[in-house]
Amino acid sequence: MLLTMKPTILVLAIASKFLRLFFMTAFLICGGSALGAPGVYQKPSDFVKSSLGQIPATRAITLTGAQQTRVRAILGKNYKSKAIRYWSAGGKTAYILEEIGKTEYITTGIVVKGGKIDAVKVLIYRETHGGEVARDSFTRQLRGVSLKVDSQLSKIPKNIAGATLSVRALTKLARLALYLETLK
Amino acid sequence: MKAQPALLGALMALASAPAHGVTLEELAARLDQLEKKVSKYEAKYGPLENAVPAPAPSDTIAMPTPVSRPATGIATAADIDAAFMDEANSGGAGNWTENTTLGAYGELHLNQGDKEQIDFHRFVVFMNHRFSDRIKLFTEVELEHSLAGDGKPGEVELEQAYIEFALDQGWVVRAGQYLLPIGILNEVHEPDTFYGVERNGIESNIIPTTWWEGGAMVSRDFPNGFGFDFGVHSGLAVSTDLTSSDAFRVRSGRQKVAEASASDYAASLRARYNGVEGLSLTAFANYQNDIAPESPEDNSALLVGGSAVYQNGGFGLRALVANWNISGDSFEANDADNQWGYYLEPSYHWKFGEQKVGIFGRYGYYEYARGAGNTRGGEFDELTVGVNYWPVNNVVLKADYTQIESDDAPNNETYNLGLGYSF
Repeated sequence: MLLTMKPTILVLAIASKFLRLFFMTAFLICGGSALGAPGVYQKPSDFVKSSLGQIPATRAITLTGAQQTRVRAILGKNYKSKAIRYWSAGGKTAYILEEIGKTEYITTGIVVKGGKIDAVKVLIYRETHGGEVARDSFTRQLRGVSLKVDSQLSKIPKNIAGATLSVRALTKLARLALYLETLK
Repeated sequence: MKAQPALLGALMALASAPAHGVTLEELAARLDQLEKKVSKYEAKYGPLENAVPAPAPSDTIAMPTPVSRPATGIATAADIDAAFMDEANSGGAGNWTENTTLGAYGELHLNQGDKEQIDFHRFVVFMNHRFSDRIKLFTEVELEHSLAGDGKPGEVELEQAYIEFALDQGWVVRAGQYLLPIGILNEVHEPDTFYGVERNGIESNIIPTTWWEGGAMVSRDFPNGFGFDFGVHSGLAVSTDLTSSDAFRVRSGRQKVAEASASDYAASLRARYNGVEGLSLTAFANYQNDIAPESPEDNSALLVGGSAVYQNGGFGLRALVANWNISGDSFEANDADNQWGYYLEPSYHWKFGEQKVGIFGRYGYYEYARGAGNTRGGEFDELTVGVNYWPVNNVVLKADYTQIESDDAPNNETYNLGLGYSF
């Protein structure tokens, strides 16, 4: 019975030319009048401040050739820059790292404490599909995770259907943050 | 920290000192003084190579920091945000090459058994362009079966071309030609993201994957894990010609937005839930005002279904059900008013560093329109078991055995090998 019930909204949406045009026009006007930045879950500066209680002086790790090789093994390519910023305070280090999911950079904040991930927060999500990686139910899986000898995570987060590429990107960034921690 | 400008000043003075009239002894004395200053500086502030620049005066304008050479030292919140949110950094400004991204996927299939064939089934290139940080273009062009043209087996298809407008709070609007939010594989079907060489029969014959239409769609995600997509778009045009083997077949009704009939429209709705770790649930519906516009009778149609995907460690489970109800005497008389199917697919994978091996089994049942002469459709039981091997995340080698049993058609057994990639 349930399978034969027509969802009223779908029937209404295309019931007449007028309604079809109304929906399409409404969608386009919504899109055209968009004012905000896409998928900004938290400003990078707010992430640093909320993670460390302050905005400490910016520091940077400049990767040597050998270190770039290790990074390539983690990411499958070089990181977008040789020098990577971080902020440290109270025994914690906050990294803001970026990796492409399918075609766009996912800007991610990662806090490391005592060689383990303390927190992961997706700050800016620019991809079309896979925004589920920004949810706490996914990122909290990475808490307490450390890096094994083979540069893999001690615990692999569960995949999300439809967000496989974004899950891979965040997993790589978690590994990268833990590796960078060993270089400080 | 404040000593650094003085130290740099001393260095510059030394470097710019005229060589004329300065004896070697005087130069040695100056170097000695400089060494003492450096020693004092390092004792107070640490090694010189770790030095950070002094903060900019408050009345100067903070410049965005280039990512390739990040500045260190005292940073304001605006500096940090500019470094990561600036459009130039994320590819949102500058020349078109910086704003344009390319990607691709492809899959080669080898079938042995009742079907013996080798086929580069799909070769896909996508190109996306960012007009601004919130307005983007997504396109995808596909060459199917390697060779297209008159009398050739393949097609060149524009699979997607839409503009996406990203709004605050997770609202997204897209307009153009887009993949419908129906089923598991329709939107995400890169070969390295699913098990099995060939796509399952339910998401070919019941949900006509890959299924795209022209129109507009709005999507929204909520922090509690719920989300939805709602679109109004062009519809299907299923044949009711009793002489055609495609008669009443939903898959053959795709117009592919190619000079497609726009006399009747359709709408899609999907609800999503991803609030539980490892679990993704969807419920979806598609309503066609008239699924057979060429037919004189009213043939409104409704597809409803749901999917579940669960992953816990190496264990994975996919399940999907989809059901069409199509009104009209012609569909009813040809046993095509109810076309439906489901499948269950448990799997398990092991990781070895970068490499991964997974095994799976899939059982599915589906029934769809037989068409004229009972040439295609019917009721089918489909069983597939196989293995995927990923040497790296984006490359997959596949092998499986598929058995399709039917009272309406000869049983079919194939051994399949596949090679797939995406980036």
